[in-house]
Amino acid sequence: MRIEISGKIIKYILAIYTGLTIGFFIYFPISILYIYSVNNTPYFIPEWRGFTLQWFLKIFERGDLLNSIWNSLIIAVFVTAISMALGIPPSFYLVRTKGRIRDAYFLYLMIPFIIPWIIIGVADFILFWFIGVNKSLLTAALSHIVYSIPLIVVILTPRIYSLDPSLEEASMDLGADELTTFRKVTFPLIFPSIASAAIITFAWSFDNFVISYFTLGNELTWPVWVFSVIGKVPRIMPIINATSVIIITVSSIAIYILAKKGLTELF
Amino acid sequence: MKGEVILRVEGLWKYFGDVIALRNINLEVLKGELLVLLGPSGSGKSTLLRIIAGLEKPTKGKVYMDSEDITDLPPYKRDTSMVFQSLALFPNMTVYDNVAYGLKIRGVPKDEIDKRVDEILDLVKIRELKNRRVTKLSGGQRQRVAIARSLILNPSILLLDEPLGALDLKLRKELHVELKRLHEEVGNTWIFVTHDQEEALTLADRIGIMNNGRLEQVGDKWDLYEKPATRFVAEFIGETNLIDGKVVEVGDKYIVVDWMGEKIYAPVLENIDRGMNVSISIRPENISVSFRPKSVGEGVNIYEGEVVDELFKGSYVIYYVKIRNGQVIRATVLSKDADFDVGNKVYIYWRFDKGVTIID
Repeated sequence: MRIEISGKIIKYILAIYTGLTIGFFIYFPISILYIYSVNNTPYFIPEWRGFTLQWFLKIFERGDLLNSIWNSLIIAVFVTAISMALGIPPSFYLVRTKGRIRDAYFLYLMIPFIIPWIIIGVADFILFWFIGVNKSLLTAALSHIVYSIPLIVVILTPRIYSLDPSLEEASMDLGADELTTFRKVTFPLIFPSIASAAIITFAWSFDNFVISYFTLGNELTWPVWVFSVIGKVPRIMPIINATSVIIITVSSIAIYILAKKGLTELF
Repeated sequence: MKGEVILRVEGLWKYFGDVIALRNINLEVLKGELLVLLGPSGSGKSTLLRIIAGLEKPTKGKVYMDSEDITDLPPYKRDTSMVFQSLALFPNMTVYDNVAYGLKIRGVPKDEIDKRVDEILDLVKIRELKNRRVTKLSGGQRQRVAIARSLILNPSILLLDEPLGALDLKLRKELHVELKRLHEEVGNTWIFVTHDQEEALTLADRIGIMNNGRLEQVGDKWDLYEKPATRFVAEFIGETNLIDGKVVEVGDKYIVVDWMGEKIYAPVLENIDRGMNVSISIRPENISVSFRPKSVGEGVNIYEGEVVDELFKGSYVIYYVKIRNGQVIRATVLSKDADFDVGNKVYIYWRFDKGVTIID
């Protein structure tokens, strides 16, 4: 009895400790971003100067900023689509076969996941120079795909593994061919993992600085644009700040909706 | 027409790597019958069922349905439907969506699907659960959904792979009655796989006994009980004494077998010869026990022995009698006649034709 209670207390303490840490290092700074995005001063001074939306409006005066966000979105969509198309089939292969070839293939696929991004960036930089391809949004996107495929495989394989193979057999037994079975049974059942894989791939690509920095041409993505203007363009911080607030808000809402939909579909 | 062969399996072999799952299976299934494939786990019965369903390809051999070769047809082109051991209900769907699945795939109009789903749910008595999620059902209810999902397609052959395996004994017994009723009402052919002897005896019109990848014998329950073709069948259905020996004499009606120094009479078989090793199966209830030797006729086996153990079973008692060659034979006696005690000298006897000669 006593052990049970102290066990519970320890669990609470651990949960609170983690919660506080995340709160202090992530949510607290983010809430500061929110406050300063509507504070009527271009400086991070500990003083409230009144409510304003001017920083949000100023976003639309910066064509280079808007353009960089647009570029990031395009790359992230492209990377997500291509990586899913390239990541889903090997996930099934890895779960449903055995043997040495499968094990070797698994390593082959997963190694890019632990290669530091700066090495991927530099390596692809050299590659594009070597084969004489001009760097552009496309070269950056192709470089993002390198780490996205193992990311998707890591998220999908446990789910596919836990899928009862007789569900697909039952579907075929009831008259559905392989494709219909995938559409009606397999895909809906692994959808929550597909959704999380897509969200994380999208977010990582949207956010990626290191690889983009080495593989972009003249067109910049948002993180690279931020790096290029910070400390060089005066009074740019509050605008970056406002942009960050919009991005955090939109992505939080998107994740909330997807998580809710994914959960109700399953339970 | 009832009694026609609807499915024929010919010379079927199945290898999984080096493991042989099926060895030369030949089987004819009759239209409208409920055939039970009975055997211990790993005997190949599920593999045979999966080959009939099209979920596995045989390594060698053919499967014919209504004389048409269906060996290479995918499952979705076969007129069979399977109830899986895990039931394999789609967890992301309601009872209605599960049951309607096959009809939707076939493009049946919505109002007809609705009508047929209602009919089939009435048949399995779960209409009120139509809009429930299958994850919210009890074991017995899930069972009914799985059967309804297959039956709605009106398959020529319904295949059931240990569908009651996960249920408790009481529920299983209820469902046995229910399944029997369903089979009679629907009237199609069922092939039912189980390792449960009692289940097989309750449900089956005919039983096929499988062991170690072989189909040992197919027949109705009396055939299997009274004329087991192999040692395995003799031991698997009911209790029996299996006696091994060498044939020393072949007569017109019976053979004489040397059983560790004792002579034993057993029915003659066509291709039997002197010097062959045979087994004789003799059921405990076919052996009589008495204190005094009865006057013996031709072909009666009689042995003097001592009761070494007894097992009271309610309406009958099993006596373990040790005879002169050291072997122990089990004999059952109705409780009202069970006057024997451990240590008593007794005689056991049976006429040769109560035994079954088996060449294995």
